Amino acid sequence: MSQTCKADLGKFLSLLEGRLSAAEEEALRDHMRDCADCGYRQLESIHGRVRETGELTPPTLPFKKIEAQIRWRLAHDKKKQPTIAKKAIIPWRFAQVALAAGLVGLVVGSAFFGARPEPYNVASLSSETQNKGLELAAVVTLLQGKVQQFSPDGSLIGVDFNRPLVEGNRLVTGEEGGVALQWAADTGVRLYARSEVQLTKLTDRNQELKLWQGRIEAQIKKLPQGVTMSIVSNDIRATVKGTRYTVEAKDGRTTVEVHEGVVEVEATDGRWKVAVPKGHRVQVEASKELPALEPLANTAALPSMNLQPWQGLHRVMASTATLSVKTNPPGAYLKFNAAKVGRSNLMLRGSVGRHLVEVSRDDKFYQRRWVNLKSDGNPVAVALDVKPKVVRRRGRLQAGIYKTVKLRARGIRRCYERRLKQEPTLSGSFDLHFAIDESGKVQSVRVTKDRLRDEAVTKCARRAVSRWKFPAGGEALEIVYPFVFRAN
Amino acid sequence: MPSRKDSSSHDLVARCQQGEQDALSEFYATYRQDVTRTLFRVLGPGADLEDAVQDVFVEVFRSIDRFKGQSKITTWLYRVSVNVGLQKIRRYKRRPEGYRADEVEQQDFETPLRQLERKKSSKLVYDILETVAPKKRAVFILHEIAGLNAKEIADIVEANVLTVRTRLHYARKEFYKKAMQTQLAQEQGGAV
Repeated sequence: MSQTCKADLGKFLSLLEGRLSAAEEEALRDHMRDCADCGYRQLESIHGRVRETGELTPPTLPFKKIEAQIRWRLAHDKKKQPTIAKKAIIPWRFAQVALAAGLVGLVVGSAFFGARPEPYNVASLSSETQNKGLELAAVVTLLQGKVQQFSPDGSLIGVDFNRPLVEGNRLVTGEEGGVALQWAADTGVRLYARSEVQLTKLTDRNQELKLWQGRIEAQIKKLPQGVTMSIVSNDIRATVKGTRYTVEAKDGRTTVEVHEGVVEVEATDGRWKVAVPKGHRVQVEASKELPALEPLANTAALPSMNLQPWQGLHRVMASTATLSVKTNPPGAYLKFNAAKVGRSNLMLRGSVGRHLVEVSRDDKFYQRRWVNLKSDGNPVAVALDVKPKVVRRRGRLQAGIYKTVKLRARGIRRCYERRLKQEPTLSGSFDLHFAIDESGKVQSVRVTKDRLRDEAVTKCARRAVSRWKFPAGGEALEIVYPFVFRAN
Repeated sequence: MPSRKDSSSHDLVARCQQGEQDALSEFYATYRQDVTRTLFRVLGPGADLEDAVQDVFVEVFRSIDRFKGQSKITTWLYRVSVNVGLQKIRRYKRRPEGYRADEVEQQDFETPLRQLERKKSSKLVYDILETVAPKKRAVFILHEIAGLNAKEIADIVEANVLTVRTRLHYARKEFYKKAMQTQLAQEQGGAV
């Protein structure tokens, strides 16, 4: 764009910064007023537009929801969860590489941790039982679209595969959302889009789901004597033993369709009761008396619920870690619902008090943690480090990894050299553990066996290693690399 | 961010430091608008503010124990917000595609045409700012858009006043030079 009068940007900036004398400023302002096609006026117009940008008001945000998410993150992400799916392994020293520079000698050795895939699954555990039966946890087996659950404070938080659901949880599915839950072998439900359900009872003796709205499908294994499973809507209670059926609550009407077995449908006030056989349905309205049985119009097979072999899930957990609980005050009980392999949050429910939770594996003590439960019934998340079982084996460090470490070890040497100027007698060693994911990024770095005892060096080394990038495409590994520092 | 009565704010922070859940909620309710406004100014219209607000408060609550009261709470929040904003810009390199003009709420008394002009020019401003280096951009946004003075900015970006002035000078130079070559300069009507 061309003007008859070109602006001097430096002069304009001097005007903005108040560096022009009064006479110069007045002359410039006079010029801007009189000049028809002026570059300065254009600059001032831009300046005005920038200032106006600050007057724009931000959009209104869902602050309640954000607060719930913040609380969730604070409670559950206190330490960043590692994304490494599998870890490893055996230390095996195979090389000692001497790096000498000036007065300093640095010896770098390496240890390799090979990897063994470990299932990353969730399983339910239950402990001591009160009269109501063993408390169960439902595992999410299918998830599509938007699915949320109400947190204890009433706000909505996300649902994911890694977080089992427990009694009291209330789920909501979005426009195209859907979720399938399983709490025993061949037993589970699928919640369809635009639905809301609450797990009002979830024990080994009594499972009850309250359908507030929408459609839910249940597939139930033949239940033993004394065990009931029912879905309750505003109007009816559908109780079942060994069947597959759907319940839909919509526009003040509840429909029960039975695809397998027999379902007993009962008015919530107990006025009537009807048994619905396979291939039939009943439609109940609030005001209506005993509903009539109608044959199912659509007998097409229902979609799969992706039910998992439940015993398998239990075995995974059992082979990973055992959880035991000691309670205080004596006689109090504490129930744990689920734990997963990896850095995990254990959902605890129990009586008010201080409880000791211990994790052990193969009769070996693993981790101990005191937990304060402040209110009855509300689950409390406790971070536990349930690591996969480590299988130690010998192996060679892959060439790409070795090359990267060798090349970049000089960064760590520099950390040491810097401190050496202040502490000429500084010497020692430490092991650097760093976990690499499949993309070659360093996920976590920690220092063990620190015989150097210099925080500045270890901190600098950790920072340096966290920036290293290894060749992508390999398996996720945790590597231990000993570093020895000696001043020549 | 408007300054607040710091005695009561410091009490609130002290309660947060003791782990009072109600205090965290109160803190969030008190400062959420300020944080949103700062992030909106740093990231520009169309950005994922929800995520950024979450990040700021998570960062604040995690480090609240380290807050010793040496600066104003608002300054500290400004600092965290600006850093989170710049981090987001760095992470995504640039703001998400597809400017959603409807997300920007406008004042009622403006005509639709005027509103549209403001939205368009603010988008152009942020498009140019994307090309300016983060440190200079931060100072430019805090001074030109948020209207803070050099001393306040120096506290937020933890630099001395002279450095802030230097950064502002070069940021302005770069910005106006680029702005003159773009559409922003061609739309003179009704701006000043």
